Amino acid sequence: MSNDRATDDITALLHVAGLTVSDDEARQLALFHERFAGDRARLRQIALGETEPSVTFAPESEHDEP
Amino acid sequence: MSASDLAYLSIARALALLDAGEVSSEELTSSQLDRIATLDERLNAYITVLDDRALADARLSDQRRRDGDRSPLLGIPIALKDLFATQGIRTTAGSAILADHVPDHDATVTRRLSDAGAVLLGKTNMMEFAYGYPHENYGETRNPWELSRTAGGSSGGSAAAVAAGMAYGALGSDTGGSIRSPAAYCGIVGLKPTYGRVSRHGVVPLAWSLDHVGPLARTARDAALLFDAIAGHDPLDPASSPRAGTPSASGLDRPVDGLRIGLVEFLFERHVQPSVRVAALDGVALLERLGAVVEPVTLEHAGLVSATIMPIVQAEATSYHRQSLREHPELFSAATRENLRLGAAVLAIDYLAAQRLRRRMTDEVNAALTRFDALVFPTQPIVAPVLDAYQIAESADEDILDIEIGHTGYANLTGHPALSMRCGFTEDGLPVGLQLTGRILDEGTLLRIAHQFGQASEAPSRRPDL
Repeated sequence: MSNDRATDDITALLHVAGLTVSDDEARQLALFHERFAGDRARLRQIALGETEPSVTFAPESEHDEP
Repeated sequence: MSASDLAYLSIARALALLDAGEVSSEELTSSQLDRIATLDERLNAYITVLDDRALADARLSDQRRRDGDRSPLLGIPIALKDLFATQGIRTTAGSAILADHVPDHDATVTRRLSDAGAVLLGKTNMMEFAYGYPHENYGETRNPWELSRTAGGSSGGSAAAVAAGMAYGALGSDTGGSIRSPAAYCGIVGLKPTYGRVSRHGVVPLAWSLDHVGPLARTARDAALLFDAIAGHDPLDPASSPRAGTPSASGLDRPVDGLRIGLVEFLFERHVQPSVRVAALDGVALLERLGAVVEPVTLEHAGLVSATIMPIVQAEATSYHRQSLREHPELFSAATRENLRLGAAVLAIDYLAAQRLRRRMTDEVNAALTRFDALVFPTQPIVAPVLDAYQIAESADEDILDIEIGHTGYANLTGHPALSMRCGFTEDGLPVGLQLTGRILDEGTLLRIAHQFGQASEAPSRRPDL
């Protein structure tokens, strides 16, 4: 995911939570957020894969896009 | 008895001397206050010291003892991490947001210690809201064994105070290792009890499904005495367990001969510094010499602890702090603020995936503990980091908190009791902790192992050179 896209995404998520951050803060948060993305993809596959169709929760695949 | 020996008495020994009339609570309390006055400018272990009030309480406890009162901790000076509510005494949680917060009630554990007769010396320094990063208003607590290093977190003030002879015991809280980690770095005993065994009522939360309260002490017996005073059901804590455990201090003298201990091999490897591994394996060898049977055990999910615990901590902490984060973000330290904001970006499916995996981890540990009485691995894979090491890093391999939580977070996720005890020192003289994990409600076995281990250890009374 490009950094611009990641920055936009986290800005939107924070907005939903009622939180406002500057562009610089959002870029920094996006970097940290990316750090967790791999771990969380792995968790979804391990924890949810047995009861849910795996493609639905495979964030690195094209199916992750709405 | 020298001033230093007086300050470093164990709680058990101090109680015996109090009973024999050979020392007074006022003398014990003065010894601690004198050391705080002398040392704490360097250590930064306390946020609030209750000089006059502590001495008045000590004199009162001496009078009660003369009147025949034999409450279990009567006259023992202790400290509380500054997130336990203390009626009429400022309780900051290491934050600017609560800098002037004076509770109108006591936390349940504050009250239980008071009922047991303990004398409160003061409130100890901690990482901001127990998250893992110090707030600049309070600064980081230094490690008594080497002042250029941290005491660890988040209960670093409690650990440093006990290790430095500035409190006979203390309480801390533990969401991902915040009792055991500073206990290991400061060379003392730290117990995270079974989830629900000790009330969190009146304790500023970090993540409610992971938060635990427990003691820090210089010996296992002292930890048991503190634990027995605070454990038990509390209807004011919705997660409090109604199941009664047995008092732990009474069974400490039973030998550990024949106990079966599972050695979690992966956690002797993951990020483990060679000097830590040597000390930890020396500790395991001592357990074997004491008659314990040690065999390797595999925990399939041991490599997923950090990945599992972080979305839970982040989401729950952000939920709790959301209003402050919106209204006063500038009052948080930069690192805490960033972590809280990251918590707002945790997706529901990731939180639920973590909770689901957590259930499997619990089942896995329960299964292992049908074959073993306890599991063992280094409390932390590293020695105490240098000051200012706690920062959010862009890589997990460079993030100290991530490295730490991968070793201590397992027991927070599963709710099993876990204890850190000093197993030795590196060549540089830094203490190393060995962690024991036990069956649900079986803190007694962990304390018993730690007690026997401490009795047999080559340097049980080694103190930092301050």
